[in-house]
Amino acid sequence: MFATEVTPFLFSSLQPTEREWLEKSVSPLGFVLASRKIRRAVVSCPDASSWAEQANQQAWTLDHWARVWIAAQLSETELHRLFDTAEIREWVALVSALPWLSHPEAWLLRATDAVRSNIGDVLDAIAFFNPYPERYFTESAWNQLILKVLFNDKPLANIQGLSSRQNQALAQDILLLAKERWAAGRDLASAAWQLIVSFPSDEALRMVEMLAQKPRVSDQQAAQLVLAAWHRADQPTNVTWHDII
Amino acid sequence: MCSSHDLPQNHPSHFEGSPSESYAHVVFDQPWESYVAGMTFFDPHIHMTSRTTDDYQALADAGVRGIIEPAFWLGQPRTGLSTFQDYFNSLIGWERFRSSQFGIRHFCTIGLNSREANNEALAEQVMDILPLYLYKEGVVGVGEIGFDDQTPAEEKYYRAQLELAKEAGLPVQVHTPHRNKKQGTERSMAIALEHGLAPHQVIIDHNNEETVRSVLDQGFYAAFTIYPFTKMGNERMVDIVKHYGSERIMVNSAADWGISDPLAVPKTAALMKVRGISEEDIRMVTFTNAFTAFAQSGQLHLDDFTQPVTVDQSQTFQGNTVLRGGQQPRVDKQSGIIR
Repeated sequence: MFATEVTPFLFSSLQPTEREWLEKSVSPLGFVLASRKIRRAVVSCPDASSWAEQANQQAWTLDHWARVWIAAQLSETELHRLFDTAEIREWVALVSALPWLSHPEAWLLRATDAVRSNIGDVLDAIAFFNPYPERYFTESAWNQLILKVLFNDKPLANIQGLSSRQNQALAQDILLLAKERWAAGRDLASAAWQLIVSFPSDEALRMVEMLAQKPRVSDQQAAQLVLAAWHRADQPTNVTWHDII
Repeated sequence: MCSSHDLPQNHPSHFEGSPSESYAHVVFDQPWESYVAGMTFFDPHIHMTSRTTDDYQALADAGVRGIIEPAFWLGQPRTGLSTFQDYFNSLIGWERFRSSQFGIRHFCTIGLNSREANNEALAEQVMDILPLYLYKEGVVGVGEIGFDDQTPAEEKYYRAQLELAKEAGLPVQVHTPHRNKKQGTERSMAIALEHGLAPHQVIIDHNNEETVRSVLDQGFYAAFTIYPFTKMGNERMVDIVKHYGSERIMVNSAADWGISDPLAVPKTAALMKVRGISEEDIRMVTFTNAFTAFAQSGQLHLDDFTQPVTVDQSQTFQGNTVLRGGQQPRVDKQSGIIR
């Protein structure tokens, strides 16, 4: 269980007064007050766990850690109440806590609501370094997440499960988005093209050949990586998808 | 009341007008913005929910770095608790984000406004959810509360909210009525004292020439709303500061859905400068006093105003590896081309 396993790390990072307050504040009000009672300092968690990885990548502050720790021990009713009245940083903490709640699958609507949010930090909290979408999103919810990140010019590489959740419908969506962007004289993040590699088609080939003619170097590199995977070009040297934004 | 447009019936041999009129010839001979270039401002009362992104851009350009949005009446009476809750949520959520995109720190005060206190059935439900919001980050007071018609229901919920403020250790932002203003202001102050609030924890808003002396004498903060036609004009405001000095006085715009001016604070600063008020006094009434009054909430820190908002955002997600919501791209409003 998340709270139990995290307790040693969290308590050892807190000052005695903070710890004393936190131990008696496992309540919705405690969740709210955490920002007043616990320092807003980023801490790094040395544990080899997927929550430590998420927390370190998202740079959780101590008050954020405390909020997630409290949230993981609250009832469903209490959590819904907190979601319904959340201030921005509270909302971010709740969204980042979703994979660590006792029945994560029950929170799908709250997770997709975060994808729908136009508040940058809230979208980032579900999209980046959060294992929830990879584990629990339906295919259509997953595809919306990817498209929203691309639409907002945010970095695709920070999404967990990019390759494991590839699908035919998403590949088609990417081609449509690229066409729309090109028609408007705008660019699409070059990294998006890795999502079509497993789904070759005549149309995809035509578009990748157009991509290869774009002036942006990262577009040319992306085109070469796709074409190489389809055995239509040489593997580029010194370039992988990790290098392409 | 006479206005500067009235033609005198007689031609007096010596000046008999107001102090404003005596130096009415001292006007801006450059664009007003140039007088306040490089200065920064804090507007402690503005309803951004009712304003556009153009206004945010204009505030940022004029040097406004922080604002407080008090919870108020939306122009249309609410019919249920959910709309109150969603409104409070927008003050601590969406509006705060919208503001941050323009580099402006957004804070709010939360409360049940006086008009809607008269719908007692609904008011009771709102009172139940208020404590949930008063402890949120960035909530710097209980407000705007007080009297409108001065009914018994308004008094009941004003008193109840003073108790909430006391319990939460938050300052109170008091709206004073348009009708029977002087009496309503005195009554608001007397009730606050009766509930054991210290005068310095209470900001009495929408003052005028008739209310200011008593407010200051009793030790309260006196806020002035620079709002065309119905509240203060900035020329009258200059007179007030010349007469009373800058201690515990602050100006705000209260810009909302009415004909109002979100740039009222920097425009007033510009006029003060033209009319010879010291930069130190200008700073007090357009930044420091409001900051000090609401910092009693423990939710305002001066460091926040010396760093760009985006720096603070990146603290949550160390470094810039994650692209932030960040600043909005600038749009050239003069151009006929939209890209």
